[in-house]
Amino acid sequence: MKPWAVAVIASFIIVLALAGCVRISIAPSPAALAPPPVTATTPAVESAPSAVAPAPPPAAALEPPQVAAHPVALSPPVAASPPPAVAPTPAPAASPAPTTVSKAPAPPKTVSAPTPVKAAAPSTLDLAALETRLRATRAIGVFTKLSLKNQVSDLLDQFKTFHHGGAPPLTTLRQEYDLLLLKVLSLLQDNDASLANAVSASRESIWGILVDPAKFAKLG
Amino acid sequence: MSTHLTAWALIVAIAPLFAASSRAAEDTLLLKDLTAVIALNGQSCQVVSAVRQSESDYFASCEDGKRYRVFTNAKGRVVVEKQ
Repeated sequence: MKPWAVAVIASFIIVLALAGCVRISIAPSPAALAPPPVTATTPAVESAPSAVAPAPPPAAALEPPQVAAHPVALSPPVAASPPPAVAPTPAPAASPAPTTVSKAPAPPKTVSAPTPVKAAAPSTLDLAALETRLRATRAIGVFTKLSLKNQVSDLLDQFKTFHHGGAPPLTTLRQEYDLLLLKVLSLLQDNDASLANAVSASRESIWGILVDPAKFAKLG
Repeated sequence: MSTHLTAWALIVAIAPLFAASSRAAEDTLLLKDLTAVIALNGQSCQVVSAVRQSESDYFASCEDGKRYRVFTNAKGRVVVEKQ
């Protein structure tokens, strides 16, 4: 190979590599984080409520993604096949969905296009497979997965108390369930749309398991 | 200089660039993860940088100047502390 050819190839590769490095300047921009290590002494300003009952604030924090989410995650299944997936959600959290869906039909041809692909998604519920896929997906980071797992555990604890005749009424549980599902969907919809569709399609089936004492007991 | 030598020199020179690029991608993922976990805990924060304290312990700085410590406690729960 001639030297000039090597030089041309090398410069091409270097340009590619530098293009990949452009992000470096974005991520660590504020490097003035040296002081934080001292913070161990400051008592948790808002630490305790972290995993306990973050219900109202997340709604506010996550609303924008949800609004954007529904047209992607929920509207295709509605058009594809099952009205059951959307219709049976009576919770207030579900109310935004119809509004976004009603806006979505404006570009009707884009909705009809993905329907053949989604047809496979609303299949029967396979909790184990869903769990595996949630564990494996790269759409959610490790911290986020752990935090979601904590919130799922909290909700399951509440269902346990409910089945033992405890305090939280079913409507409250349904609201929290819907909220948690919306969080999951908003996290998945951009980078793992198929899993988001699967979760969305399984919404009522999972709820059915949670509400039924016999089925819930089998969850362990 | 032989062609082979030139090629090796180029590889050695370019490899760190690719390594830096993949590290930057990991950083981006981490920032997204921290942003999501802070949102899940009810706080609004677009994380722009993070400092790792230990394996599961980060200080995150938000776009608006707020800071949060995100870590897993002894019970395995993710805790978000406003600093």
